[in-house]
Amino acid sequence: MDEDDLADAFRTGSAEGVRAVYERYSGAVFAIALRVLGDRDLAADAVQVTFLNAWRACGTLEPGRPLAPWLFTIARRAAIDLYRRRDRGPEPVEPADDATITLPPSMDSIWEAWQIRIALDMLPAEEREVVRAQHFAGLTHAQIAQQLAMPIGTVKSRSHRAHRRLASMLGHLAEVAA
Amino acid sequence: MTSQEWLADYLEHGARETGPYAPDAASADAARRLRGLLADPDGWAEPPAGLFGQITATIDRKGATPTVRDGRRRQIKARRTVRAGAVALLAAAAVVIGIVVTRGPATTDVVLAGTRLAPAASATAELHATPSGLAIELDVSGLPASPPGYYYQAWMKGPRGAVAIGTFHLRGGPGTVELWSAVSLADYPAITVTREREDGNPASSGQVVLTNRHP
Repeated sequence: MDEDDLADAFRTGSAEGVRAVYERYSGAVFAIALRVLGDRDLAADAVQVTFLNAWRACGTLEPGRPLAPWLFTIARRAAIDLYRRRDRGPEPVEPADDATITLPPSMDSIWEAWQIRIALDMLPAEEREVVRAQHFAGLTHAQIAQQLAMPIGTVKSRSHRAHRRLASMLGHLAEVAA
Repeated sequence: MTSQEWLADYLEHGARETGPYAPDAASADAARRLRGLLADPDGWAEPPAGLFGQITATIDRKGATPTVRDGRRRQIKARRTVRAGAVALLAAAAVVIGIVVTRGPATTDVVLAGTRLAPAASATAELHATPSGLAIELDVSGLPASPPGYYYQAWMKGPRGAVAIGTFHLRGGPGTVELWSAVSLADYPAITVTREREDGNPASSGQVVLTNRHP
């Protein structure tokens, strides 16, 4: 289902539409919630709030408006609302003192995390598996080949293709002219 | 090697000799940050199994159709729709004159935390760029109404000094305050709210109740 079809399905408020959007974007929503909140339980709450709020507001998603940035706004707001409601952490400081006040990550860094997760989720499964092993698990190509029981040439070619796709999808974040 | 090929190579292998192509410092920093984020465990985390079931169960309990927004949200939505229309026109004009927007959403949010003078207070400032300046929606919670003879004043501060961006009292209860600024967040990155006395003195009292300043 392409983005327009996904948005159309979601706009109806149907269970199928919600499921399709959840399947595509729940990982990204969870990733940014975890980035803001640093707690898996709270991040799960933020995912739940995000999809309920999105479902309630589905009628406001105008035809032609991209779904992903719209959902990002709802998800970030849900996470920051939870951030503000939980215990405040360090004691507030004197007005004249610029010292510690805990704040959530910046808008830019949350947006980056969102785009990276979406790019990873858009990789073909076999390429995503190699990228995950390399970056998340910190394995070399040889170690990945051994772990996945495949020729090292296959690992290298999948890694090469995957990183080219990632560079294509994320180049604007690195301010690299595509 | 093109810039995009360089980025792909950097994401895959990290820094290494890549021939004649050399990115500028900002692109190199951004690429390094992206590569770091690829290794961030949070970026790979999956939501708990069964969470979707909880969401659909909640939706089922609430009925078969989405609920209608309350009055205040409708009001905010109406304002945002007008602004979105203006933004769309500006965006169309930008395309015509060849400006390409390459980064995220058009608005910027800044979170403010309460100081010891107002520890229960918090706020989110939503900044919208307009042809007249920055329109700022300050959504305040936990800040008491100012007593008679006092008011709150919002400021943007930077290396060049402080610019007042509006005053308010919240005597009608907590909510969204509309502020305007002629200076940018890039030049004046600190947003604060002070408590002021009605004494005719235009200078800041220094009694900061909300701030986005952090280490």
